[in-house]
Amino acid sequence: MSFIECRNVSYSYLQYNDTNNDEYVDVFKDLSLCIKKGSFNAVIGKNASGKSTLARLINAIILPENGEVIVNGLSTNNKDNLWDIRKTVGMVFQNPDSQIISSIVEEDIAFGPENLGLPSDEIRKRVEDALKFTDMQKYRNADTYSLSGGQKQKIAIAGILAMKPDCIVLDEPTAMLEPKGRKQIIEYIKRLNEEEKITIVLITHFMEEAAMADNIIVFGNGEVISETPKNILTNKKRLEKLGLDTTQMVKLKDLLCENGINLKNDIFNVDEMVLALSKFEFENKNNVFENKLVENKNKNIIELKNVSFYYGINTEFENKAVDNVSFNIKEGEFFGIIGHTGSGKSTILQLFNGLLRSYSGKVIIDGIEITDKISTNELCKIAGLVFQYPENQIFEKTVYDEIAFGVRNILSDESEIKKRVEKACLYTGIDAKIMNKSPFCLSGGQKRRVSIASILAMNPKIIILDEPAAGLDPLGKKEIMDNIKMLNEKLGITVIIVSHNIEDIIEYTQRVLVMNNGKLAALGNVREVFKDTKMLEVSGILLPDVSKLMRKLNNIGIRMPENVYTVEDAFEVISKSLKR
Amino acid sequence: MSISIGQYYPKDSFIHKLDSRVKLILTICFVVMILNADSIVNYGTVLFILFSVILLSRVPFKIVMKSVKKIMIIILFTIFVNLFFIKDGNYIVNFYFINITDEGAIISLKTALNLIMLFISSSVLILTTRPVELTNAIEYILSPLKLIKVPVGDIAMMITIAIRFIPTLYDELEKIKKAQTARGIDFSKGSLIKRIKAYVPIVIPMFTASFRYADGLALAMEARCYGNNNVKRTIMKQRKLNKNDILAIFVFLIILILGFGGLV
Repeated sequence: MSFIECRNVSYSYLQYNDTNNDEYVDVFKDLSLCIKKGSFNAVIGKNASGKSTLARLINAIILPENGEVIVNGLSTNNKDNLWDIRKTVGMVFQNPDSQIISSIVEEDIAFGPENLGLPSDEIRKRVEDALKFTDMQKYRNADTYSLSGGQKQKIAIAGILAMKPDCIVLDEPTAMLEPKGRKQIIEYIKRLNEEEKITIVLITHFMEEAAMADNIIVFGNGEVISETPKNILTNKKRLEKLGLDTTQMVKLKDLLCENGINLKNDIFNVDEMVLALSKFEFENKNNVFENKLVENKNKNIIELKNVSFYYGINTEFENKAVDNVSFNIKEGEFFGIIGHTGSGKSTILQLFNGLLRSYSGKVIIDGIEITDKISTNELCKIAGLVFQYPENQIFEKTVYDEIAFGVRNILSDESEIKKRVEKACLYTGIDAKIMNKSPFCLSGGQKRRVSIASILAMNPKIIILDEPAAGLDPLGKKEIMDNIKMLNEKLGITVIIVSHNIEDIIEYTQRVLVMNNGKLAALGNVREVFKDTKMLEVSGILLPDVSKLMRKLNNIGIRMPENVYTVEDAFEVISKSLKR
Repeated sequence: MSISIGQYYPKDSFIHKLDSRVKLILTICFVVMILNADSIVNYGTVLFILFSVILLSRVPFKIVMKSVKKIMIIILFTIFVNLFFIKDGNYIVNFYFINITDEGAIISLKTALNLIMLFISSSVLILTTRPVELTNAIEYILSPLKLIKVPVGDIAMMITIAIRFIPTLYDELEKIKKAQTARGIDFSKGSLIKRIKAYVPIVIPMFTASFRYADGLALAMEARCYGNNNVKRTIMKQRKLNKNDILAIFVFLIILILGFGGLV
């Protein structure tokens, strides 16, 4: 039985161009779609492919231009149905900060039921149940502001659950969370479906999340496909055409098949891969994965000696954000910093360019010891810092001015500024044609490039990026990361990136620093550092699927090295030890 | 890194747990008492209430006095004005241009004491009551205005949301400031105009951030069925006075009669 039905729905929006010829852009035309009652649906697609539009159509926040959306037998086109539909379909949004209404947890959860005009006792009961479901009872009277991103999303889910909807639409609920929070939220979503029998529509960029659904809806190139995860995720070519990625296991399976190892076509998660590989015979020699990295012998460009930084010093809120940390970063290195929220990694970044000054210890940047006499302005020329979601700092009238903003603060010769801007554009892949456009009109990925170019134009020796790929779709993410890699390789700039994501760190960086509760948890070569599973767990870092595969193979007696984190490496070790 | 909104000082005391409406109304009564205090007994009563409430609230005295520090200049100024410009009564100092009368001295002392007590009493209210609860209390007190079609509920919702977003927007401001500093802005150099101009890169992103939050919030509220005029909104937290609230009102009234018997 179909619970939500889209019949030939069309929707377009007005795109503002600064040249005064605003135009209507179709999001989709003639979309027809069925969502079954009680099913778990994942919606994937590139940024701006219409996923969020679908979510809003289902909730009757927007109405279709043509066609009809029917929710539980009610058409959204009929105004009288509006409140019944919103009561039936709850929505959870991406940004935890913009969907919390009250300063107190339980009052926020009560907001929805209060709007439904329920009696106080009933609201109290529903709030209790929702708190219990999300394991947030302890926080009922907490200040919503003091919660972590993951906890805020739990509150958002609880707030919807308390309205007792039949269906919940979640618009990238995990995009702004760190891996641990993401994993938790996904577990709750699964339980909503399994225990509460709520129909789920989960919009996501993470293929591992999509793989758990009963049904995947793919948006792309003007068409919409709705099939089982197996059919969609195992078809790598089709996904690539749509600008999407697949799971690590599918990539590994494809690599193995291409090299003559015969595997079934429908493998897409770790357990299925373990099962498929267990049917093969392996040589049980001690399989070791060699470290291929060459040591960087350049001089130190950043040195930290016993550095500490406290927030709220000498108050009762005193918090040791960085606690007696020492390490060096070499010139020309691609260096990674990983750790959970509040581990001190963002604080460390700000110590590099003088935005924050260490409380004790020494910070030396490019041979200069940071003292009170050296201004942040001076240090910015050496170490350029790109904050998380840098597009939020855009303000100029044109892309050119936006990129030139940083240079103009340190130089006055316009011809030199122009040269710098052009060079920065060249290395960040920004088209000269968009120079006179308003930066606000650009897509998310383009805005991010502009922000990076603006720092690059200041000619820093070091570029520091805080979560440069956060919130982008798989393709956009890869493009940005590859671009940053090129800056490191071609311009010799020392690059420091902060990430939650172990896969990015492994793929791009040479050495990594793991932070945990303000302390240095580990430092060294990426592969060496991540061998320590216990340390990773304590520091809140999740292993990629291929590493889980290696561990599971070990458990069933197929000896595999555990320091394997990428699909290519996994392919190498598996094909090497396979008896043929 | 958290900032405290208003100055709520979390503690689990008798005063903290009182109903916010009781606290607000008693504070208003107390202010009236201060303004009417005229004798030693009156002042004694008021000071007694004030100190016992501070003790009961278990907020450190240092923190309570912080608010007084902020208005020290105003207090000193009123003392100065009253001391030198009141010419009634007998001179106690009469030295060239320094003329102080006994009445001037008493009045200046009284005004200073009144000001300090007013500030302390209101800061005790703010220190022990969450902003949200204070909003609820204000909504309750203003609720008769609903009769003349003032949208008290909507106004209260607006205040609730404003309070909720202060720390979020403050964080955003800090982030933008830092990010633009990393792009080479120097707020401390150059002429006044140059320095004012340096704030443009902060103000515009703050505007876009506010719109972004407002947009997201409006969506989230609509999705959670806010704004349906056919349904009367209810409230989860039934406001019922408990034993402690009634005790507080009772004790307050007794002290009022004892100390201000002449007034009644």
